[in-house]
Amino acid sequence: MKILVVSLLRLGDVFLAAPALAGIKRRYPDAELHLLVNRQAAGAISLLGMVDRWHIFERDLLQQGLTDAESPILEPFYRLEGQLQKLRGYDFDMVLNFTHNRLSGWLCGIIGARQTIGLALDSQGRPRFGSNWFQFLNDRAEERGREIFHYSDVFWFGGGMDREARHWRWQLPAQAKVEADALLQGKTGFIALQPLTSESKKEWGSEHWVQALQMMQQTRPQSEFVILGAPNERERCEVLLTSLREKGVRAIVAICSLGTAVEILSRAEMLLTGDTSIKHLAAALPLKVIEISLGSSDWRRTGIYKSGAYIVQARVPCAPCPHSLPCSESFHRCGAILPPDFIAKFGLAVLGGEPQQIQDLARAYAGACEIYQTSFSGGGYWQCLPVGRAVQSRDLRMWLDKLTTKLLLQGEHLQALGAYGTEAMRMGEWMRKEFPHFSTNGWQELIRHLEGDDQMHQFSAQNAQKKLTQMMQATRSQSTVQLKEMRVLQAKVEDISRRIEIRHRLVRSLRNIVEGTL
Amino acid sequence: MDGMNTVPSLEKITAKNGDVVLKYRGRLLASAIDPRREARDWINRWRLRIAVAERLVILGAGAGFHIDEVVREWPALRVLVICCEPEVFAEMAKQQAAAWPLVDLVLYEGHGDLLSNPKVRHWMRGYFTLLEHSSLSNLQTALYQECKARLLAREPLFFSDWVRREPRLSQLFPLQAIPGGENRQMLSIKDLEKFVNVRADANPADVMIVRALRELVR
Repeated sequence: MKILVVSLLRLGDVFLAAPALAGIKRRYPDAELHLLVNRQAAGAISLLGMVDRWHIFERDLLQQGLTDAESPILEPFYRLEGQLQKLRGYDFDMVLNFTHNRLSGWLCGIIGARQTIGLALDSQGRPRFGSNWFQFLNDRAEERGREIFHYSDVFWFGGGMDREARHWRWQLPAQAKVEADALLQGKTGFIALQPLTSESKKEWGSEHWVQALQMMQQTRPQSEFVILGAPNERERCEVLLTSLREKGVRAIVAICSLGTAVEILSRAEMLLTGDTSIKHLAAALPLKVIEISLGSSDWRRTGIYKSGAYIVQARVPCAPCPHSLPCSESFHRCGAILPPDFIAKFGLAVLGGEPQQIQDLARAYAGACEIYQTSFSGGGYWQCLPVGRAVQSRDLRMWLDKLTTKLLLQGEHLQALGAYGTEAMRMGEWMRKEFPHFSTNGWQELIRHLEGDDQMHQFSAQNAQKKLTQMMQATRSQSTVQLKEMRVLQAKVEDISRRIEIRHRLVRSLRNIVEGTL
Repeated sequence: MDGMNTVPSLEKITAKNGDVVLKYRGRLLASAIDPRREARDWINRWRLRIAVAERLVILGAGAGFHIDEVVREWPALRVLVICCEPEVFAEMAKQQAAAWPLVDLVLYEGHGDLLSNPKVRHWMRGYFTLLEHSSLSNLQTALYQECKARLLAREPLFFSDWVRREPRLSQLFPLQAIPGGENRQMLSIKDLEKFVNVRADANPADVMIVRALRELVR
């Protein structure tokens, strides 16, 4: 069996696919797993040991050929055709498109396979998704609603896996250990730092880092810091290092390959990072992680994919901002609002494993930021939990809506006996585990709030049904029929009705579980 | 007296570093000081483009030093050299068999028959990188410019010429869709997308490749 996974975005996106790649390899142990990535993501090749064959998509060369007046106009056509012919020659049994854009859709349509999962366009440009999960990704790509799933979860469930634990390891090249030894000179238990990111909007700023680390050093004198950076970040890392040393901070710079970075992270006690590829590498390692989410970082979709990490999101109304647009504010508001003393204190509290202090700090700085702790929910997907405040009905509503969406996407409503009780049981167990001090009365109160939602959902369904009926009546006197709009409305009515049914059953089971009657 | 003013079409002189350099109608085709260094400089200027080339087309044979250097550094690279001067072509052909087994030499003297040459036709069915040798300004510049325009096929006239000769392309881009006449506006992928045949006789995969390419420059 041959399987091709297409991941044509950036390096971090390839790392986000790693749990699913490992899951696919476990699900089809005899399959030859191929991965198609952009040239810029080729740095991931040596780390993803579960991939058997790599294919590089020469995006830059193709773009250059298309725009350079000194290149033959048909050169990109023949170049792309050559690569696609080669890929078609493998005669894949399955193609999974983890890239949600039209380019990848055309490519997957051309490559073809006995089964295609994820966006594929046919010669008429009609999309096929091959999985409800990727259809969902398409429909809700830009949405800021409650039912956002982490991209790694979409790949995971879309790839056919379910509640299995995520296990994946980075394969390290032999020189990673040697390079790490040379850079660290015997240091262990240090705090690793990745202050630079791919976008300036996501960065906190050197002066903030210097202040935060200086405070950490003063409070915990034995602290040592290792600033990680890619070769093209050397200069900026050195400037930061100079500033830190001037303030008496014990730090070194480690400019290294990704493999060496993994080796360094495996010897670190904690990682402080922005939204970076290093964060995704840390997801498979046991160290503590604090992710600082600024600018266009969208932690709901790309936050650190592991349990027990912390995400600090600056509390600004514009977050997350679009990748493609410059900051809309007159200054970098999300970076400026995050106080260095908070990061210093919070970092030390996480490092010391002091849950009460973590909660107190989150409460004290709630005006500047929201803190979340990462977890895997009873439904088997990544979920963030609020830190520093009690669980509220909006939290439970979000968890329940996500579980409803998952069951809907997996077609649970089509089963003769849907596993709603089991799923609610898992959710209840998870809630109790994560919030052991929350009382039964408290849960009951929150569930009562959710029961009130039914009416609102019924109203939406009735509204959509009413519109559909009006449209159908109107078409009787028209020569043309608005088929597309009618189909969309019909799908909406069906979707809401199914959701109401699934949600209703889940809430009922959850109430029984909380009350101890199930 | 007349005989004394006649410049031989091809002369050989010895450069300062000892290499033999060609002079075409009194004009040097390579450096008279260190032609090999000049050739390496030429390569360095185009290194990135050569490194990713599947096949390379060089306009102008010069004195052959740049071909030598390309072959030395990329011995497996298929190279096509187009030369517009019969005398230079003859001189290069002597070197070709012995030193450049993977190099094809083509003589083009105008008359619009470049794409009819079997070697060039063979190269048309694939992708190549096109480079100009630095001595072109000392040679038949207009002819080389014409060659370049024909090979780049970025002008509607020359694009049609390619399409006409390749049945698969003429199914993909119907000739009637391509503007004719003296329109010399450079074509882009956006134009090509407009030319694409939406009827059933074009290969669907070819249509999809054009659409995919269009996505790359949106």
